[in-house]
Amino acid sequence: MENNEKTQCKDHARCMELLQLILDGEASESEKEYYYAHMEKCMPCYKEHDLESAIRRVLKTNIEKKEVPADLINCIKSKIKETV
Amino acid sequence: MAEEESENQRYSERQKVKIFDGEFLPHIDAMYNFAYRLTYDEDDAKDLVQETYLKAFRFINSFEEGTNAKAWLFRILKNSFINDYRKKSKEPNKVDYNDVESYYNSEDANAEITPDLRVEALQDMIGDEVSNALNSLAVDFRTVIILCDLEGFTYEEMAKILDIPIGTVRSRLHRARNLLKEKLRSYAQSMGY
Repeated sequence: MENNEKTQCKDHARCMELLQLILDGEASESEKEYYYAHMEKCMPCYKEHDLESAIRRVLKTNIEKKEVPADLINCIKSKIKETV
Repeated sequence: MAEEESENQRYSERQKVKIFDGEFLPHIDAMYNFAYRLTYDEDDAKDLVQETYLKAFRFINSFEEGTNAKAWLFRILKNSFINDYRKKSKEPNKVDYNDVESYYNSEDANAEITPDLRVEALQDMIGDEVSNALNSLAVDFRTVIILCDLEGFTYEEMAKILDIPIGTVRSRLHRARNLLKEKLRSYAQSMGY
């Protein structure tokens, strides 16, 4: 079944660099086209795309946000008033 | 703006307050979270943010209204952190970037990426585990991930915030992500994946 899918990528290091650019929104259109076409035929690159996307999602959504201390803005503002 | 006005008096007091309230203060949430992720301490984070905003007000004439206030503020915060907090912090890890660059350019970079970390394992991780993994990275690596993934800065903005070339942003991010992946992988293993 998986015979026609590549299980090894000859150019994996370069692909991983491209993948970073793509997921960070820094890749050109042609770089994106290249990678998306490539990963349809290359299992390792397909999996990396999945995994790297998931890591970014998890970082963005699962990390708890700290609430700003209630008095911080007032503190800053009153210190500025002292200096003006 | 009147011609005789020097760069030093670009804004009137009223304009300063308007810029401060309208362009600087809306970022306080992101600033506080960034400060907390750098210092791991609520009081230090608070002091660092306060200091940053006071500096921002003092140097407001060097800020051009309508430009990227968030990046400008993050840069001040990062510099304050390096100058005042990093010195006294216990964190011993100074990163040797020559190592980083040679790692990045070596063939080994290829060999290390064997992802037995699975997407399902990641999805089951709670915030604490992800936070711990991130917090365990040396501050320079942690910083690029925060700026890129949590705050959504572009490479160019990050280069300005960190005062490093874009190529270094890329290589540092690449290395940081691989380190983070290692941490996440060991969490996944301890969870039985």
